This record gives sequence, structure tokens and C-alpha cells, in this order.
Amino acid sequence: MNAIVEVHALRKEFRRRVRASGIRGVLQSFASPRQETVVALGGIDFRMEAGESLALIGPNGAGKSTTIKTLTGILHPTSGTATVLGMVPWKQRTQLALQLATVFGQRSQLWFHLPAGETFDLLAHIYELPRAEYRARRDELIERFDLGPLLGTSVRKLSLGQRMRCEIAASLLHRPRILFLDEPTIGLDVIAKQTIRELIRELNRNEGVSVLLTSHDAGDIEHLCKRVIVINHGVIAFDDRVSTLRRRHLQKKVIRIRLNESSVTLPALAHVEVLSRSDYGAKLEVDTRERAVAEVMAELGTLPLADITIEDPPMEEIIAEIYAARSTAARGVSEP
Amino acid sequence: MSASSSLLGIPRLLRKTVAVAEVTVASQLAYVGEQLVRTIFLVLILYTFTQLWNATNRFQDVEAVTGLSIAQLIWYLVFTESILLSAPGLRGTQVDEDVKSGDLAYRLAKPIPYPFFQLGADVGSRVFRFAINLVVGCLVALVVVGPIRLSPLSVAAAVGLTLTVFVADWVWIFSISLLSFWVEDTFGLHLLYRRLLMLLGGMLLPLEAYPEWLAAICRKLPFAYLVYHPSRLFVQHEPSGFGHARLMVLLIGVVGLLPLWTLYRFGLRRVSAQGG
Repeated sequence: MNAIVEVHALRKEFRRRVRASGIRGVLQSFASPRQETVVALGGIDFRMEAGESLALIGPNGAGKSTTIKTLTGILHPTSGTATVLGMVPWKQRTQLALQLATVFGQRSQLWFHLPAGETFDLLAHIYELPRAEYRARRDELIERFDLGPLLGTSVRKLSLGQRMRCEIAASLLHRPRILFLDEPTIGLDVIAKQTIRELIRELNRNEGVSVLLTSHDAGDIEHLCKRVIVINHGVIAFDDRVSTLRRRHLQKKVIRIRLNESSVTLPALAHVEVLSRSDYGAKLEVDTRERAVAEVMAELGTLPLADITIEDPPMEEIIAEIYAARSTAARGVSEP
Repeated sequence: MSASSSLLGIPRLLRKTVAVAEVTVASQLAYVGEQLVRTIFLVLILYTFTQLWNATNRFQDVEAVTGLSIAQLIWYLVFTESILLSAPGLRGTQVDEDVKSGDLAYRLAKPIPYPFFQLGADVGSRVFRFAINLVVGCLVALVVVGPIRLSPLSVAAAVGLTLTVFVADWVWIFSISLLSFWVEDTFGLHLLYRRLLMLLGGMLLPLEAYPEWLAAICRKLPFAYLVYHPSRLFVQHEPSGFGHARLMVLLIGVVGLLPLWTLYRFGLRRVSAQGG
């Protein structure tokens, strides 16, 4: 495989001024200013292969955005090395920018008072795209992202989901080889999230665009990425396939039952917690470390069942568990 | 990258800068009504000064002191106000905001250096605001003091010089804004710079109306080249002094490139991650 991102011992520290609260604290900080070092990245290592879709997840302040900003050349690391498409990002930022794209969910590159098409035209100039090539690409993206009806409307009048479709299309005009997405679905409704995920997945599959994604939304990770890096307190807590993450940290299963009769008394089941109960149904959680799901199913089989389903717990719970475990281990390291 | 290849890239960068300026103007056109409302202040200033000059003229011959008639003084004021009221807000350029909000990240991740992008955006919007102010100011001057004899050549020279002024002025405003990498708020510095331009640049009065000693000082300082000289050209009958003024304005801009480059270079190392 061909690595397009290589990160080795990448460390980023910030200096932050600290002072006590109140007027006295302010006066003291004038007399003897104090600074503390915040470790945003504590020497991380990873590789990303061409065409891969990789999720970078972690709680707020974990170092996700710092990683993306360092890999796009915006931040200079304190130490360590990184190459993206063979270039050192903070030394060759402008050159690198021609081959990558960034979409920050909470920021916009579109001109607020103008229709998105005007920003597209500007980006064609900025990325030095030949006119014919630009037009063909723009039309292709308009069709694929279904932007036709939106192009005459100024960006400020678009919904967040529509704007995000325009944002992603704008970042793809120059056919980037890597797409950095920083929380692309933040604030979107379910339908808009699905649309955005579908579009990103298509890009990855059909155009071979490598995707590095940060998100707090487990759905983004499950739908878009095969591999996940969990980062917390600036260090990597997990780096493997999403399926491995599930398997390794999956210690519970959720069983939903629907009954034919009302007010049936559930049997007492060891190591099973009743999460919710209604007249005709129940939601149960099995601790799989203590008890096999099959055993519980066998016991439930004595009930007048209309339907039964087994689910994995939501990805959020798995991620929260990893964060909690790492937080305990990493206590004492300052959070950015 | 070698120095020669960097220089060869400048026309390309300037083309991108012009494209940014064009989009900025298009964006400003989207709310031209709001821009017109902002000119109310200009209308009030022009009316007030017309009354003041007329009252002064009853006690002292204004033309003998300033070398300009009351009508010429008002038309001069139209131009100085158009230059100064078109400047970015006292909060400085977008830089302060970009640094604090983290939007700088988006701007830096594009194949156009941030200063060139901002030059296009700031000068583009300033040209637009200047045009609106000038048109409204000229209409008000026509109503309150009537027409004066304007030389098309002098007007063209004044407008041409003003465009150079916008770039030179931007270099200094942008440099002040870059200080936001180090200080929380650059408001005080922008305010100081703007007041110096107003007082020592001859915003309300042409330098001829200043006491001789003060006028001599002002003529040696850069501020007058950014306000007085283009405005004086506007009401002159011939474009004399255009070449010298243009050279000086270019010099002011070129000298400002050193602090700009230094601050930008070191400021970039201070960019911190917003939101993780």
C-alpha cells in the first residue's frame, strides 16, 4: 500500500498564560506573569494509505483539530515529523493546498451574501483551474450534489444541510487527493446527515479520494470509515478497524422483545438489566462477559414472543467507555 | 523556492487577488441599501461644515487663509471623508476576527497567501465604499454649495492616486491587525492610527489652513500623502504634484511591507488551534 500521510512522534505544545481570579489575580499577573505549557499532541504516530477513509475521534480538547491543522500546514508542530503526499505541510503549505481540501463543519468558505456559484468561480481562480476543466467539474458536482436549485440563492438563505452540500462541492472543484473533514455533520438533521455521508462515501469509492474525518457523531464513523483512531489527551488510545473497536469494547448486547400478551411477568435473569418496559415489550441489556446471549434468548423463549431483536449498543457508548478509560490513565496531562 | 521563482509567481498571485476583490465588490453590491444608509453621517458632516465655513467667512476671509473658496473646501471635504469613511472599521481588517474565531485556518489552507487574499477583500470593499461615498458626497456638495470647476485630468489623477493610497494604507492597517497574534485587542492601535490620519493628514482642513509650523511638520509626515494630497488634487485645476505624491505613497506602502512580512512570518507560528 501507498502511504499518503505519515506522522511520526508529532508533538504540539502551546504556552498559555495563567492567572488567579479577581482583581488581585490580574494585578499579580502583571507583576509576575505565569505561563503553563499545554500539551495538545503528545507525540502521535500513524499512517494513512491512499484511498483510505479514516476517522479521528476523541472528546473536546483531545487533539483532533490540532492534528488536522498540523497536517494541513496551519500549525507548526513543536517536534516530530509529518508528511502529506510527500510534502512537509508546514513548510510547503501552499503547494500542498493544491492537492488537498478541508471542510470545517463550523466554518464556511462560501461568501455569505452571494450564491455559492460565485465562490465556485473564485475558487477556480485561486486553484488556477483551466476554464473548460473547471466548468466540466463544476457541472458534474452540481449534478452529483443536486445543487442546481440552490445555485441562484445567496448562501445566507440556505439551510445548514444545503450549505454543507455546497461547502463540500466547493472543496472538491480542484479534485483533491485528500479530504480533511472536521465535524462535517455537526448541527445537521438526520436526513441531511445521511445525504452528506452518502456523498462522502461515493467520493471515496468512485474517485478514490482519501478521507480523514473528525467527528463526535458515531454514525459518521460507522457509515464512512473502516479504520478509526481514538485520540485523547493528545495521545492515541486506539488505532484499528472500526469492527475491531466494536468487538474489543463490546461487552454488552441489547435485546428488544415484543410480546403477544400484555402484562406478562419477565423471568428474573442474571446479569441482565431491564432498560425499559412497556405492556407489550421490553428492552434488556446483557453483560456478555458474564453471560452468553444464547442463554438469555433460551430463557426468553418461554415467553409469548411476537418478535425479538439483538443489537449492539450504540457506538457512542463504546467511545465513551474508551475515553473514560484513557482519562483515568492520562490524568495529570494538561488538556488543551 | 528561489527568489526568482517567487517573483515570477507574483503576477499569478495578483490575478488571484483581483479575483478576490471582484467577488468582494459583488458581495457588497448585495446590500447596497445598507451602504447608502451609512452615508448619512457624511451628509451631516458636509452640511455642518458648510454652515461653519459660512459663519467663519463673516469674520475672516476663508479663501485668503486657506487658498480655497468655501465651495472648494466642501468639495475637498467630500474627498477626504470619502477616503477615510471607506476605511475598514476601527476593529481593523478581518484579521483580528479571523485570528480570534479560528477562521484563519480556512484561509491558510488555500493556495493563496493570506495577506494577498485579505488585500483583495479589503481593498475591493474599500473601493466600493469609496465610490458610494464619493457619489453621495458630490451630490450633497452640489446641493449645498453648488458646482465648482473640476479638471477631468486632476480628478482622474486624484482617483488614481487614491487607489494607490488604499493599498499603502492597507499595508499599515493589516500590519496593526497582525498584532492580534500577540495582543488581545488592536482597537487602541487602530484608533491611534486613524486619528493621526485625520489630524495630521488634513481631513477637515487642507494643510494651507494649518499654522505654518504645523503644516511644515505635516508635510514631512506620511499621513498627508494618504489624505491631503489626493483630496487637494481633486479640487485643483491641474494635476501638478501627482508624480511626487504617487512616488511617496508607493514608498509608504513599500516601507510598510517590512513590518507586515515580519509580523506575518512570526505571527503564523503563534496560530493556535481553536476547538481542540
